[in-house]
Amino acid sequence: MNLSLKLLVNPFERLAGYTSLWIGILVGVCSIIPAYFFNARYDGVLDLHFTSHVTLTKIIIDQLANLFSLMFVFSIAGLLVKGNTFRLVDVCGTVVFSRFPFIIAPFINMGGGFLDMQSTLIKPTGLAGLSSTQAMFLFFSTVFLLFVIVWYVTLLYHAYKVSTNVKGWKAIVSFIVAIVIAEVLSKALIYSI
Amino acid sequence: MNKKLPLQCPSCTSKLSVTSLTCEECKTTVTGTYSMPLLARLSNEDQLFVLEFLKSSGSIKEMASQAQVSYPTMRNRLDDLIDTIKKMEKK
Repeated sequence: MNLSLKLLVNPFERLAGYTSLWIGILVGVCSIIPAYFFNARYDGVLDLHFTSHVTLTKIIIDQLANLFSLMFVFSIAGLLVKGNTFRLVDVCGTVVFSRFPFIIAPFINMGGGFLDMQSTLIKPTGLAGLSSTQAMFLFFSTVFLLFVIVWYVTLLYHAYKVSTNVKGWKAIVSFIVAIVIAEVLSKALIYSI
Repeated sequence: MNKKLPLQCPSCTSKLSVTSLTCEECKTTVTGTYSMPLLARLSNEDQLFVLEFLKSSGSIKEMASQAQVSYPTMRNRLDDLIDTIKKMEKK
């Protein structure tokens, strides 16, 4: 794997700890801006939804709940599988940094196009109600969002693996379980606050 | 040519012992069966890691900065080496 691709997929072999934590916090703050302007909500660790109106407070609560859920669950998973051999700052730093792809995702709703398409799709006509431009937009936005989510999950997996040193099938199984628990926890936190 | 010390038997993959030692000056040869010390049984890469670890006074942070990798990456290499040594000790 060449260096630039490796840095995109697994930057944590070179970047972790406080450096990635500070960059990640900056990333988190930056991702609030497009989310606010393009009405996006990160309402779950794996979620991105567009609504007609979103407040800054909601976006911040979403972000904090997601980060807390991921950090908490990954740390517990690491402790259970590997024991107390890792630093909490590495888990936090790499998890925060992994949210990087979510900076670009809200741009898909620039000008409200995605939301318009979404409201057409939920009508009884469904796909048939889409214009040819909307159908093309649906295809490209699906590919784009799929790319974002795959990149994000890949980053999260490497964040978990590098920061806790869990390897092999244990890493895959515990990561899947941890992601599912973090998703449930984040949803519970977001909708209870 | 920099010859690599064989660690495993090429036939059955069991660990090898030293049976002959030769003085480089007078060519006197001592024979017998001597087990290899644990550190000598590590791979070249692991032996280099141990040397670097000692030279940096056990500072993983310094080793990580020299190798231009993150702290957990270097720490993971150390943890893997510790696991390898523990497994070798059990055998």
